Amino acid sequence: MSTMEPAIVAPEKLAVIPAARWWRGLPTAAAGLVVAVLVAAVAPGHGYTLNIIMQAATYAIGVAGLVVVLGYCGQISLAQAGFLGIGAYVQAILTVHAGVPFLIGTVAAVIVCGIFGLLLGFASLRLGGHYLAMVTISFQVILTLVMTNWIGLTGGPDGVSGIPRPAGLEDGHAYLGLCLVLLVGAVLFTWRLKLSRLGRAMQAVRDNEIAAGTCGIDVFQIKVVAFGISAMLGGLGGALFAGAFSYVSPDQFTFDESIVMLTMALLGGVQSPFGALLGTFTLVILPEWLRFLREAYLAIYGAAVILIMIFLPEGLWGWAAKRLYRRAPVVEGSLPPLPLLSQTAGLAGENALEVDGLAKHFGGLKALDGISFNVRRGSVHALIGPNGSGKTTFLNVISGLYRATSGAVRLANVPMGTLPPHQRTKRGMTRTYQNIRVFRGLTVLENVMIGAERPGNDVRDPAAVVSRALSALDFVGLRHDASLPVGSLPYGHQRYVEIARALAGSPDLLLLDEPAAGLNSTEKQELSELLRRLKGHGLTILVIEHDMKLIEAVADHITVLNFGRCIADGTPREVLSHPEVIAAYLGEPVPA
Amino acid sequence: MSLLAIGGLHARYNAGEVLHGLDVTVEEGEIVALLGANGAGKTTTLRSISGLLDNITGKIEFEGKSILGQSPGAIVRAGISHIPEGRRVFPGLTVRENILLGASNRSRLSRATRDTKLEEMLTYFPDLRRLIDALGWTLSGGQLQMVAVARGLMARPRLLLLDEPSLGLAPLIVQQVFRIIADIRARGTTVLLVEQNAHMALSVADRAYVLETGRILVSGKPDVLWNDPQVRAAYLGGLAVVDT
Repeated sequence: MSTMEPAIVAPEKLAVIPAARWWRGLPTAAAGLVVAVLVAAVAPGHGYTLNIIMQAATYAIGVAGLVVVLGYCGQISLAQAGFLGIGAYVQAILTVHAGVPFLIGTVAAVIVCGIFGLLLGFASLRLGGHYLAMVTISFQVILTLVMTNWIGLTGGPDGVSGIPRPAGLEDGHAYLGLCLVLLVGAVLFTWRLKLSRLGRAMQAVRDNEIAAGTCGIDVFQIKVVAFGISAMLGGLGGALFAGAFSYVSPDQFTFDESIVMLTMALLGGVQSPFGALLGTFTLVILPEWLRFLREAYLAIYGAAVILIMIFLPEGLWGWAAKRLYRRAPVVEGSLPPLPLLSQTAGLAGENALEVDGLAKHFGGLKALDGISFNVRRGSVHALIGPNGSGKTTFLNVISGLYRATSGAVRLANVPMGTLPPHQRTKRGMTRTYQNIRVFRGLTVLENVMIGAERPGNDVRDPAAVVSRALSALDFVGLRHDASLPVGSLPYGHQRYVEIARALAGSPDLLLLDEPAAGLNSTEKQELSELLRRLKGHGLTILVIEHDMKLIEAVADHITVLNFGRCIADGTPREVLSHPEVIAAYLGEPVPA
Repeated sequence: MSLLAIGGLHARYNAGEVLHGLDVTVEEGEIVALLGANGAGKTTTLRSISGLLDNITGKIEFEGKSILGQSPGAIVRAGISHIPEGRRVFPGLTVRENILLGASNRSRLSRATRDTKLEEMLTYFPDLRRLIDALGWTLSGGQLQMVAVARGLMARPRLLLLDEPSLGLAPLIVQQVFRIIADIRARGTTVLLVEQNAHMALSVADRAYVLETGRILVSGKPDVLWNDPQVRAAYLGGLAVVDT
């Protein structure tokens, strides 16, 4: 594991995930376009069936937007029909009242929706979960009220009619073709987005906001962007909807429709735009098929939706995809060795971290009560102490998750002030967690790729990111599990994934919170070996640990906390024989 | 008759089979340890016993009666209590409420007996006394672990399944936890223990099984395992025999 054979795999061969290169999507794109053209040619050129297909096609673009914001980023939005409405009205007003060409109307619809989407996304700064859902509902309701009551602009309850289709595409076949081709585009875009750096960041935010922040992801920015993209897809769907029916009115874009769109996304599978496609067409076409049931049809339709949700919780596509795809093969052969030092290594100052009078009070509880010590560059510094003595709180303050009550933290001589976690990570600090925080919806490799994509770590090319992540996995001995879902790994190995994620970002300072918890004695020896190798590479490590054998084996310096204060600070020999440390923490002296 | 008899146990998750025909017995009054690397199947064995897994075949008998396929609730009522790894303390309840929940299988317990039991837990974990009214989410990781162990002990089971009780605890508290394990056995509870701290586990266990990728590699008394060079190298960190 530690010795690298000379044969090094070229980055192009590291095709363990399909995302490494955009052109891998081309065959799917070509197939999609062929299907789109075929459907448009075979479908009737006018009448009820055409309308049904048009509605499904334009809705599906909007539902793909829900996949981005809800499926990828984990933010609930109950206003997607509202965005379709904004898009449709912008198209209607511009083409009918201002005589603007259809194409420009469409672009304007997308842009206006994007702006409204960003505004809604800003609400996620302070709100999450149920509260954010409430805000999106309010937004949706206000939109419907504006459409109904701003008669001068929207035509009120009568809506806007006579919306033209683009020149040359007035015919039913041709316009349906346009809608379907753009639908294929929207689906492909959403699919590729999931495999991109941005898409991974969204999924990280969905799975664990705290860990996403300390991986260098600006959580708030990612949420706003997700809302923006989602709204733009809604706007595109709405602009096409307006042309399809040449008429828009407020009752087409109500809260009820937003619920229908949410159901479409969940029914099809909210993790994938293919699910959005499947869910939308199912929910638009299913009621038509069930019409022969007359009065009972709505009840049967409702029951069918409930049954699918219960028995296929990952949606139709989620269920199918599990059976269609086997996991990607893991690359064999050796990899480039992990270059552990980042570009910023060799910084000035002999201390990687300086802590001055740091305090953190929770109400009356003084979790940290004036802590001062330095971590020398290139050393392994251990932080020990009884349970509840403030060790993890200390790490959380250092990494920006908690704001210090008073005191100062300097990373490589740079004051951290009140910088948020992702800014600190950008400046070279990465960490692991005591109660493991991995991104559960992602594979082992994707988890570590997010680490490699740390801002400040100059790895941009997707193949280089994959290669670096695999090297980090190699370093902890988990490369062969790269394509497994991270949740399927045993507890101890998930810890190694976290360590690999932290290492892949080439940090200057690595913070480890109880890395040996859950490892057996032999695995602990491997860990101690790994920490020594990291130290050999010049990495600075601050480690919290209760395993004294491990601490003795790797630590250059130990600081002991008790009740939020430093009770000892020095070399392992001095500290582990300190009477106060034995009384408060060790119970019995550590055997030499 | 063994208190717990497991024969030919197979368990599978989506990713594939993880236990390939396991045979484990636990006699009344014993402390038995399961050791092995991460991913060997130790936690899966405990989860199979307490009815948390669906895809299992083989024999699991408790006091001579099959419990395979029974609901987790029925298995708790039969007298098996499971303290899982990973703490799972209710964040919105106080330490007192969390610990008392552990006695919820004994609903006919009088308030006085319950309070006596709670008091007993606080003598085991004096650190929890000052935190008794603190909410779960305000505790540190190690404190949560103490609450989880205390909660599991409240059930006073016939058989206690313990998954890594020493995880994340300070050395002083680890020593305390193993004293408690010896103590509850002395009071008549049989213990099946999964533990990474092999030194401590073998110091209290009567027998141990070493698992490797879903099979029993070797089993026996602690001194036999300590002296088995293969086991020492693979699972016990290759340490010299410690005076236990």
